[in-house]
Amino acid sequence: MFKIFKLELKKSRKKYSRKFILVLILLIILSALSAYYSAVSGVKSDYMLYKIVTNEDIDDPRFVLYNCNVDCLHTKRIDLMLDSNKIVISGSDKSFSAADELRSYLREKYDYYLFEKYGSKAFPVLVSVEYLKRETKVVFTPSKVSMGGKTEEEKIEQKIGEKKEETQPEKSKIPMKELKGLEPKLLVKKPEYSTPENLSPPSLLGKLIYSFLFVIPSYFAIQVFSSSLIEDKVSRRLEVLISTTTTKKIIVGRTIPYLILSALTVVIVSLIVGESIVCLLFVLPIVLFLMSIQCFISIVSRSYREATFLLLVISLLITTYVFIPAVFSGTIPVSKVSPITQMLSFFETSKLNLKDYAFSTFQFYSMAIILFYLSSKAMDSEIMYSRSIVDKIMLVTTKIIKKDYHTFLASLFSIPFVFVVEFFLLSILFVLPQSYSIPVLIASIALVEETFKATFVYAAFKNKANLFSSALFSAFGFFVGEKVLLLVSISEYNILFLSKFLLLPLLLHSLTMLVFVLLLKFGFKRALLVSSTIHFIYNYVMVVMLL
Amino acid sequence: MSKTIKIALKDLKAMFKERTFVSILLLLIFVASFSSVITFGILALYNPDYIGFAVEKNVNVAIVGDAPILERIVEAKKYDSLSNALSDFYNGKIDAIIVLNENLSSNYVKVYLPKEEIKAIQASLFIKEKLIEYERKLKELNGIPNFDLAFYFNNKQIEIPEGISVAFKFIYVVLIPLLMFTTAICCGGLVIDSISEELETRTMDLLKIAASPSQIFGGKILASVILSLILTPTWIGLLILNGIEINNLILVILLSLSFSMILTSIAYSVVTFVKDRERSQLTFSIISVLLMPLLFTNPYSPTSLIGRIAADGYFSIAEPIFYFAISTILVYTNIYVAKIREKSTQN
Repeated sequence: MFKIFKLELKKSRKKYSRKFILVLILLIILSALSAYYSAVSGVKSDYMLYKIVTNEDIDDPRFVLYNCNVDCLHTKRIDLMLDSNKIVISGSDKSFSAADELRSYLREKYDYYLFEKYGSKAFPVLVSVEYLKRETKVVFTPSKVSMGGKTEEEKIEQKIGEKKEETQPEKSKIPMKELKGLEPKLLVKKPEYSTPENLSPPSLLGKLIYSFLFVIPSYFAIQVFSSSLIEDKVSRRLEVLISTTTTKKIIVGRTIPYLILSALTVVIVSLIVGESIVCLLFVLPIVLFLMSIQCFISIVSRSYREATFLLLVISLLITTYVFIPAVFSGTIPVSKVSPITQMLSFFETSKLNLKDYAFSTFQFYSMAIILFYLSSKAMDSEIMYSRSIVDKIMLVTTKIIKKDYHTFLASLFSIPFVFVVEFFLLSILFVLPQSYSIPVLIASIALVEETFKATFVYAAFKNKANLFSSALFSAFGFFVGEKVLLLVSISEYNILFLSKFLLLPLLLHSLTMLVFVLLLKFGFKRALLVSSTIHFIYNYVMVVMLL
Repeated sequence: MSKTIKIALKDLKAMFKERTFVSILLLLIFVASFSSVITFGILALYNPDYIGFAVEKNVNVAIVGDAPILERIVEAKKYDSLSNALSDFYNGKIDAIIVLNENLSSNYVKVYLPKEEIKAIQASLFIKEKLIEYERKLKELNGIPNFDLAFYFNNKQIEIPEGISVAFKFIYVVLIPLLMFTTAICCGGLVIDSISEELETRTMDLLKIAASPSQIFGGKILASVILSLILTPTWIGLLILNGIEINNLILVILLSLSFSMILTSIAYSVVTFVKDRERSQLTFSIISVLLMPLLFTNPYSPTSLIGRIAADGYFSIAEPIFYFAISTILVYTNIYVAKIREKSTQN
């Protein structure tokens, strides 16, 4: 393993001359400067977007002033006309947007005017919001006295009293720009008190961009890792390596240098921005998962072209899976599925909640281990250089699932992957019209679950294992996986699996698998279609009953 | 010329055969659909009313303190102490607590809301609406004029929901530029892969017997241009199917094509300089990351321009033509450099 590690380093040293590394460093510095510049100057892509007619003094680059009559409004040449307190819009989507933005601009300008004329009296209401977690029903009992001899609520009451005393005299000093408070600038905390207009639900959206700094540099290290692997595969150097050592050692030996490089980038970013290097704990599972999936794709893809685009799609998917839940951080429980949400929370509180950490990272670690294992199995010249990716996945599965009970383990371990796929399927709800979206979503979920289970049964069948016992083992594995998910209290997501109904899902999984097995003689696809249809009918009926 | 076209078609044929094109399409569909999710998420957070989500008006509110004016505006349960209010809050009997001892000129209102619950969004919006009303009332009593603006369409007064611009801007300022950028990245990536693969597998030597280097490289670039010409109308079609209006269609396609040609030229220069795939893709990725923020912070960049053209904002016809001219010059410069290299190697 150490030899492979050294070999990889030697190869990199040969390829990356000092001159080339200098160019790369220069480009990275320029990228960092460009990111910093954009964070400071803000997005300007919305400049000159709206065309308006007015005699008022509008000093905002988003609006371009036209000299035109009302006919321009009817022909939609302009978006709106502003006349003192009246806005007439053309009726297009853009005109609605322009009116909304113009209102914000005018309100801000008006607030400025009021502040200049009346001072802080112009803002008679200032609001501060505190979010409290309500987990247990009865929290406040007389016996629950904290260390300081005060109950939780007394502490809060005291805190309010203190705050009142502290903040009340300060009010007249509050500058206007702090009152506005909604400009999403990097690392700027919202003021504690804001006007009611500026009240918004809790969100760590601003810090989300900040968290990119910790993850994105690792992407480059991972890109080099997968590129090096593809290159060795295409040039058939990998075949020579396989003949000298085990595939597991090759993977570990090749992964370590890039993992260290990724870790280093996280540490460097942490030091630069002054955050704790504990951030590494949140980035590590993401990096490992990305590396494992890129490793698998590099091995099973047929050419550079295929690898490039598949890696692009997969990287984007994972980035989305990791960052999108964080958009909702602090608002809905689904956000906790991502380690980035935990990292954002860590930035805020400097506290690491081990339970939440384990919950958000377990699936990443487990999927990484499974994918590295699959990659080691796929590192076989018979698989690497043969046919399409689907065929290769089938070959790998057949190589692993040899006995009927293997389908149990395969189904069990497939649950994190099924979960990720189903998470993405949720986007159907937002893309399709509402009347179609729910049936399409349910059908897609049924198809995904049946495909996973059926693939394992089919692999066992190829190895001449007992078909019926393989089917039942596969169904049971899936059922156990769903229940484990329920145990780790992902109750909010169980609507995906509809697994809260005790034994009914086990009956369903067994039935669909048995149907699949019975119809397998008519072909894999046909059998899968029938079993998926049964699954769909069950899920649809359940959802209709629930709604 | 025919050899150039043949080489371009060879690359495109390989792409379709390997179903790479399918993965690119999936990529674009994914970018478009998940952007909708983000838009939906942002709207859900900041303006659920607009998307008809979470609009629950029967939020149970508690008031702690003496606030007669506010009590007339918010239908709330009155509590003597925060402890009692918090106790009911934790029991789920109430969803929000307002703590306030009212006066006419300055009020510091403390609000308690549930954490990590959908109810927090509903309650937050409900409280916001009521506090705005409360602020207006106090301003009226203090003789401070309120901000009033009326909206009209077809001589009828209408309501413009707050935050409606978020979705519109997301589509034209983020999504469409992002789709153009993704298309261009794919085209650049294709050039790097096809040239480096020919170099590394030594098929380039065979190709050179049949065609000149300028024809070969011209063919590679042409394949990328054709790819952009297929992909751009595809994502435009997807957007139109989603009910998004795309104005000045020809100019949008022209600009997207020009931007793809610019990134293809950069990718081509990188791969001919670096030669192997690993280092070329790495360099090209870093350059793309470098360019992206700069493009979004410049109002005259292609990414800003495409949004303005598609939304029918303010633009001059000279702008897309300028970018097309620049991209054409870059492509021809690359082919010209290949020709010069060819001559120098022959000599």
